[in-house]
Amino acid sequence: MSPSDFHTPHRGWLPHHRGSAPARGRHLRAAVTAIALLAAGYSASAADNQAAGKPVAGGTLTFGLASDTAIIDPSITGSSITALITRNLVDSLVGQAEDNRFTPWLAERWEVNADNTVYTFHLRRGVTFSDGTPLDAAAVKFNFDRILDPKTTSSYSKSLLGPVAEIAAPDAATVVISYKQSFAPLLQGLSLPYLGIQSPTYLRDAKSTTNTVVGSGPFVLESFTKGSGSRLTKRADYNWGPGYAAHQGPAHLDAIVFRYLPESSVRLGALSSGQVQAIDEVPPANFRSVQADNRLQVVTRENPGVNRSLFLNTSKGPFADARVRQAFQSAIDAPGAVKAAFFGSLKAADNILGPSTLYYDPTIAKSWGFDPQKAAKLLDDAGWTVRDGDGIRSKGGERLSVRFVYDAAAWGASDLTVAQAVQFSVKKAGFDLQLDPVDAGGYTARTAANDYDLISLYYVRAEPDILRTVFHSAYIPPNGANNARVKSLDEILTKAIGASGDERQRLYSQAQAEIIGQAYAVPLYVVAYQLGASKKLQGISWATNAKPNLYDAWLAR
Amino acid sequence: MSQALDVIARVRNGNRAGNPWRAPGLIIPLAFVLLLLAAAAMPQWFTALAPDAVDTDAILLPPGPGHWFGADQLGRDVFTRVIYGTSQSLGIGIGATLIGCAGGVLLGTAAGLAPPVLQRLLVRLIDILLAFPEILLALLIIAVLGRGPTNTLLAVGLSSIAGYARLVRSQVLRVWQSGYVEHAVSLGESTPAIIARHVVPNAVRPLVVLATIGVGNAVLSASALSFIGLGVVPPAAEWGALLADGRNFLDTAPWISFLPATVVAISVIAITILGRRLQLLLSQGGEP
Repeated sequence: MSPSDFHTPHRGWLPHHRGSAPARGRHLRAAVTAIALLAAGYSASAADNQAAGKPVAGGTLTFGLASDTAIIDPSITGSSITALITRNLVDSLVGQAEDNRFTPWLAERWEVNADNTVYTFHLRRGVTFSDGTPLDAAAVKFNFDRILDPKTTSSYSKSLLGPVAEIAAPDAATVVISYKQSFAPLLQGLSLPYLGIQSPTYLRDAKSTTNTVVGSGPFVLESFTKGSGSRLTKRADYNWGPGYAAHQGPAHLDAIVFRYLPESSVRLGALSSGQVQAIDEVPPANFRSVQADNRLQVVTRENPGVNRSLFLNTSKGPFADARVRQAFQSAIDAPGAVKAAFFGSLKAADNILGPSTLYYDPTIAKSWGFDPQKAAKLLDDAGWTVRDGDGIRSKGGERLSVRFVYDAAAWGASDLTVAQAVQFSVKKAGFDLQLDPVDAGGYTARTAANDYDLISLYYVRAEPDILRTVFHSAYIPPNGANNARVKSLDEILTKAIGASGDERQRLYSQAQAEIIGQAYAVPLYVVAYQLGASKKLQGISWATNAKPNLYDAWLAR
Repeated sequence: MSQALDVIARVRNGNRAGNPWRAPGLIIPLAFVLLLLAAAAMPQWFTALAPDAVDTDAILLPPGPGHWFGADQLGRDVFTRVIYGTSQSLGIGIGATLIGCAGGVLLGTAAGLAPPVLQRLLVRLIDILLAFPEILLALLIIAVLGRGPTNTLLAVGLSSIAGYARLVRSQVLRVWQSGYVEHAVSLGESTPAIIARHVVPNAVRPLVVLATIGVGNAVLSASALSFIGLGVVPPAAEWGALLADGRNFLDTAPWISFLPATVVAISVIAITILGRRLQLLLSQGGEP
């Protein structure tokens, strides 16, 4: 008998797909007030890519993306990749500049009544969709009615529109949106691509809008293939750019190609070899080398909202005891873990909210931190006194073992590094932290079934009302993302929506203090958008959701 | 590669005079495999460090004194992780091979001696299983069972059954025709007794040698599963997981992947050569 009968000859390394990352930049329903956005500041200094020089027209920008999107229609998804791509395809009624002021766009001007219940928009004339349909008040009304229609299955866009009473189009150039109760965040929502206006002619006839978009934007979608990327070409007759833009008329670039390159080394290699001119999610290990490369630049924008944090399940198991949660919080050397995983390219978080979020309370930072002695004392007090050979504590025969459930596909290599550093850090205090990777379906099932001790997430939002999404009892899974299963914050968070000024700030400070003090969560790091690009790419501006705008961008020769 | 090794082994063996059991081609891989077994049993003899000990002062330190294989992105000693990974990788390799052999014996014997209709059915089943690459079957099993060391072991083991089963079947058919089985029949022994006492013991003898080679394959399969993120759960230091850990650092810290990969390659080659040598010696009747 020949031995080769016995072997199966096929063997090989399969490519590793990290998959799209639905948890990244997950936007959630939240009421954002306009005041909030005006006050939200950005820590980033003026981008070093605003180099002097006259924009050059022409050229194709190829952009490598770490995550993919399954749906390109911005009205029916909350995907931040869809937002990045479609920002170039659809126009919005209003624009929002980097300094948070609102500028005209499709609406030349608008009026808002005193109690924020009636918004009247006066549309610019002469705007057409790329299929020739004129963009008028009826087209705007059609879009918003479609989003509000439950059959459309819009969730994020719908939440941005808020509790609309009626959308009216009294004449071809006027749109009136009215509410029964005060709704201040509308302008900010309208400025996002999720409420961008698409051609009603196309929408009426389309069987499915998953794979294409027809808008009035500076670029036209030539192709979109899930798992591969998309190609956008310039619209030559475009002449209605946002008020915040640096130029008017058609875009400088001839075309933009987005390529899905999930493997970080491939993405970086494509950038450094010049195959692509820009990438997102610069691999942390290479952050410094990209910075040091005089052909390349890295621009970082910190996300506002809830920082990447561990949410401790307060409803059962060891974490039902506040002392055990506080011990866990004190046992984690988050700055050390984040520094190791991100090589100093991201900041360790000092609070549940990111520093660029409205009403972020800087005094919280002093109230907690890495303190092994405190952790040991708290665990002793809580009765977890016996330690086994590995140093793991137990109480009444039960080991101090906690399971961290995460979606392996959405969890990047650097996050895995953070998790292992945290694991080692809490082991020294006597916790047996078990990593429990599952797939996306398993993740939803496990959170819904309350079968976990820790979960990790982050949320992008400049408005502190995001805390309601994460800590109000109405959103305990499966109804939302209150993975800590906290019930004690309902009153403060509900009161804060209606409050104003100092009272509102006081309520949110109180909420932040309780979240950290009761150790409902352990903040890890401040998430940021990291754009790596060739220095030839110039003229990029930034949207308030920390995404690059490409309308003004151009490639130096 | 296996054919080439085979040829080398034959040529060398043919050219050598003296005791074939003392040939360096046998002794060196044997010594290496014994070393691996020792590392699996007593990792603390080889290193004083812990495999999950994070050391922020040693992050991405290149190989040198103190860290022979360098340190990874958390400052963990790569050599220590390779040593501690041995028991996982080798354990999965040996365990999976045992599962494969046990399953192969059951399935192969049944496919050789069952009633004709069932026999044909089982042979077709083996053929179908053989048509799939092992790693694909293993992926399927992982998809059903979920990841983790036990499931990796099961997946790799179950997916290798078909290969062993075919070998066992051919051996069973050969033995069934042999004189001593005829004798046993004529002596009035019951069929189950004949199968248990005569057929199976004689049919599995070649399996022992092939199982040795199979261990090497199983180690590789398990590493492949861990590499694509479907094997062991972090921070386990399984070899494939070590490779996967380092792949984002290939241009800045190649040692994180390269040195464990070298260990995997040498181990699999050593185990395979050992298996081939044993096979040759036994087929030549090279009893000492």
